[in-house]
Amino acid sequence: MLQNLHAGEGATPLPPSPGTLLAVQDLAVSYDRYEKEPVKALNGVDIEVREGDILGLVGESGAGKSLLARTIMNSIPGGGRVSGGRIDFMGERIDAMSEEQRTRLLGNALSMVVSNPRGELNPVLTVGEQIGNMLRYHKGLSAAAAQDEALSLLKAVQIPAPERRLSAYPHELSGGMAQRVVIAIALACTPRLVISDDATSALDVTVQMQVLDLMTDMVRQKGASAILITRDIAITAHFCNQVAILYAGEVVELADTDLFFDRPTHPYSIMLFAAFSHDQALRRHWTRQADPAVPASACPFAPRCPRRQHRCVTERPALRRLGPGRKVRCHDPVEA
Amino acid sequence: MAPLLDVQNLVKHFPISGSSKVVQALNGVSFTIDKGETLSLVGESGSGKTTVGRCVVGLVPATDGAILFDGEPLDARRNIRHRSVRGRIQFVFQEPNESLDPRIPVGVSLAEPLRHLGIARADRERRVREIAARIGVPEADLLRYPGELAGGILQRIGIGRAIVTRPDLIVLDEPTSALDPTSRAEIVDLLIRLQKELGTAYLFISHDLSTVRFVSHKLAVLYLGSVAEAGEAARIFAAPRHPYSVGLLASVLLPHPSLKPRKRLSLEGEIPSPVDLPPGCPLASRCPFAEERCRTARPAGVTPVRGQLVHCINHEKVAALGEDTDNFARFQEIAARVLSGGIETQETFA
Repeated sequence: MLQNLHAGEGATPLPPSPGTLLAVQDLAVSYDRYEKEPVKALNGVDIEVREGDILGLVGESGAGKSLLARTIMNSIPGGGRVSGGRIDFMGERIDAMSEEQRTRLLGNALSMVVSNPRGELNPVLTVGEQIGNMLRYHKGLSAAAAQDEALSLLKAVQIPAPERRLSAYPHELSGGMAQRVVIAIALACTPRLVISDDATSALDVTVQMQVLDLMTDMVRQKGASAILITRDIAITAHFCNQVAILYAGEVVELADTDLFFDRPTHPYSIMLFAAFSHDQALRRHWTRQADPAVPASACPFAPRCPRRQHRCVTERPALRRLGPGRKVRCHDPVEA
Repeated sequence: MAPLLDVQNLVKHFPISGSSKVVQALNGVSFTIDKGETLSLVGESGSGKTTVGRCVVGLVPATDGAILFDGEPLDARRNIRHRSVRGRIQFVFQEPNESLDPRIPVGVSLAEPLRHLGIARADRERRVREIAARIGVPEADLLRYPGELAGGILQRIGIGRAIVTRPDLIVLDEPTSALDPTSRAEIVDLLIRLQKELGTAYLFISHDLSTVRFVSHKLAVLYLGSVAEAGEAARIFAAPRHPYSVGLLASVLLPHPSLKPRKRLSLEGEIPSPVDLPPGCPLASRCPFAEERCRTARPAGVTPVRGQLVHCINHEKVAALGEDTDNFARFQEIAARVLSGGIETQETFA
């Protein structure tokens, strides 16, 4: 997947190669401040999703995971703007979507599932109406045909008593069921890419597994691709074929899942992995609090990094290839 | 010797206003904790694990059943405020942010339990400094306000505030679930170290099974206000005998693609509402082994092997699913290999 990402900083992003569904290249999103330099909330994000890929996007809270999803969906919150790079989806640039392009794409070829399903559903419309509206708008179905299609979608997402649920309102659904309805809406039309923004974090563990299984199965059945945004690298190990690690608005490692878990190379990736270890000495070595003696540095991870060197403070590492199927943004990654 | 805490057939029903129905949060929960040991209560939200903790510390009165602390019952008269109990049971909350007063420095919060025990000021200051060293919080941070400190440090303060009275028992209600994974691991280390140093018993309430696996001596799996399975933690993790424990353990994901959770048994649907529970086994609506008997009467507890109590009439069929390959142990091997790579590099920048 990585063949087409440009090499260094400052290079002009090129259009992605055919077969690539979504290409985000050197994307930056900035927030302007009064009489100060703008804050770069995203700074150098490169990801690529091919047809059929399920990409896991991992980072801690504040890393910019949701902002990236919102930027792809062209709804940057709170006055931010794209200040660099480009986003290509199905062969067209979408980093500055026209209103016409937006209504045509969103909910149709490009759809999203968020972590708070009941907040996403309209409380005054029934489940059947909400699924039906998507089908009527994007596919031009009649009201009756849309209801039939909605019913078969509810069956597909394995909601018990689907006939009855068509006329249910969101508050009558449990959290797991509401999330299934949102998934049904996201997959109602002809999605090419589904972005799940921590869609299962609010659910109980046994339900989380059911919903993840269901969502990835349905994405595959539809021949679509997906981005699963999560804080839990364990989810990406089992449901994704690609992993992207985001730290402080930068992609720091990008690899095939098997390669990544066999040998995470960026110190931050290793830190995420180390959090699951029961070996105190090894875990302590890799998981550190930020060292206050380290000044604001070119690599944002340097203050927490056990492998930092002088140049980490002065010179920002570029995202570079490290063997086939892997890119890493680090001066001194751990190599196999 | 009597156990430190003996919870017997604990029942808690919450009335619903404007209705004759009740929320059956707990329907007869029993377990014991000995001095210096950790019992974990695990289960999904709605299983009643938090309610158990709240009943033990007396935040909510029990509807029925008994709680014996140090051999004597805790009730309306002999409660957590009673002279013989005060300071000996402590509670640590899930959200360190919300359980500390935002308007006073955390050091003052840390000393507050001692003030209520009537300890002199000079002694209080000495004790607070000693505790700060134990929980690994720099003394300078004691003067800061909760808003200035990170979640991991605040939870250390929350734990420090609990141990400052040298309690026999600490009820920890999801102490790690609001934290990011790295501070989670640090808090677990701290709890284990403190238990070794001070001999405190823990009632550890959590849904995070990888943490539970690490800290527990004993385990009680709760489902809809009833104990599904209880016993030695290592035994239940190795060979669960209740369908719900099997389903719960199978939903733990470990971060390596080779460690697939085995799908030996799948639980359908979700936890039902705790209002108007059916008479039978609470799991009957989701259980693949459910038969007619399960729907009519609550299964009695049986002890198929010593130290493991199971409330399921089909526990032999569940046991016949076979022992699980121990993914936790295999992950630790993988982690040791991955984490010991690249460790030799000297720090060239101080």
